[in-house]
Amino acid sequence: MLLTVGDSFTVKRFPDDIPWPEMLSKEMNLNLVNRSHEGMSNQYIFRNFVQEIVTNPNITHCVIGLSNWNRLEVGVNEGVQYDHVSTNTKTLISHSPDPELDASKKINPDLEAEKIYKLYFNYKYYLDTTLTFIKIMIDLSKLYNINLVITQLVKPFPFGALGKRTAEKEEALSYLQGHQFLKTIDTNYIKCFDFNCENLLCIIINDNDLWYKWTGHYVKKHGDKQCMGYHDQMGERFKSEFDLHPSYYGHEIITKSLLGCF
Amino acid sequence: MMLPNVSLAGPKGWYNFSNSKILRDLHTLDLSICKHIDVYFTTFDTFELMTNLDPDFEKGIITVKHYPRIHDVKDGSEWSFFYDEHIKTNTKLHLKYEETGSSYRKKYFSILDKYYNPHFVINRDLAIIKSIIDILRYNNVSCKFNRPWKKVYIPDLCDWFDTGDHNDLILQHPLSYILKEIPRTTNASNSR
Repeated sequence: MLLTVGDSFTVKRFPDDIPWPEMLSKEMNLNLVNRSHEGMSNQYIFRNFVQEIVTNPNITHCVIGLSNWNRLEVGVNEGVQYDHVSTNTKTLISHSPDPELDASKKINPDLEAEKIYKLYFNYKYYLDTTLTFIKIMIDLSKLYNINLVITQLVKPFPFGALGKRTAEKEEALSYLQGHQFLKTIDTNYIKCFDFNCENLLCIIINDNDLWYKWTGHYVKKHGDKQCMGYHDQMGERFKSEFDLHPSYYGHEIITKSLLGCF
Repeated sequence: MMLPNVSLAGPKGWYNFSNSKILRDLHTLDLSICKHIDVYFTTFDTFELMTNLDPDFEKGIITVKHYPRIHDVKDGSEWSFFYDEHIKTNTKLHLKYEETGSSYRKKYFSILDKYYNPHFVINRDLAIIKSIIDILRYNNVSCKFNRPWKKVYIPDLCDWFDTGDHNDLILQHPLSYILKEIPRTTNASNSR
């Protein structure tokens, strides 16, 4: 059985959507458990990975589609669910274009919390925690005898413009290059993206990284066939807003890339 | 050896940590040379909060625990804030915290009031605890797992929460069985 855990790049987003987990499980002739959810963080991914491999002895293969590393998962004061599509958490991120408005252009109900999140944002916290999650998931996959692939389908650490050097990025680079955690991770499990410091911090652009295909930078240079673009599959939002999420063709690209990893 | 790795901490402050810190500290250990580890888990209703006091994350972390400081009981404050050893031992940082601490607390109260949810912290911490136990056993490290130490003036309703009786919620979680493997000690030795 194949387990996939990730965010909106991995979840089935609308009824007719055929995301890469469904394609991959078909190609691999494995039943699928997809514990992904729109907008989730790497903490969500970590805890759902743990819960599924511990409770489901049929899992033999797993693909983790890491989210942005700077997402913070918090609870909400409603909802009582432990299942994998639990929506009783919220993810705060630091790169929303307009914090005053939410995705539907309505007043953001979490504005105050997001302001505090940004005020005290510390990228080292997210580097430390995500590297820990990656290391522990690799160790657990060995213990539970699971063929694990960890990939990155969205920008790893999207602070600042892609491919541009800034003082903050240089400082982060220096921190990451000396990071003890980075040295202990078995990179044989990391697939379809280059696990080096400059790449993780989006300081350089690596054309071979899978996630790069779903960035505005790539679309401007190479076209948008791999993206959803403008559509009405999810209500009004993407009729006027370009959707960088994978199209059917995009999911085929991801599937083909991941097939070669097992 | 001990997890969390708090060798620098003083005798009265070291229990103010999160289970996430234990997970990170575990990551730094070379388990091939570890013979025995004492693991001191903490209550689920504990949070790590970032600050901008110091550029280094580990030097300026605030731990928030879900109980009032004894002298705050009358104020009805549900949360207690604790700075780490780096703030404690660095005069400049400590002064900065003293100057800005109330501002931090005020801002973070609004987040905690809005987003605190026992289900979320159970979900979060059970995955962490299960991972820690599995990895130590996988590496054949002799371990002693300890339940959280709690303040003596807090009602002893639930071993895994400082505030609130959430045993029923814990039992609903598919990983709750792992907690049975962590022995319960007497109240006297389990509290400070």
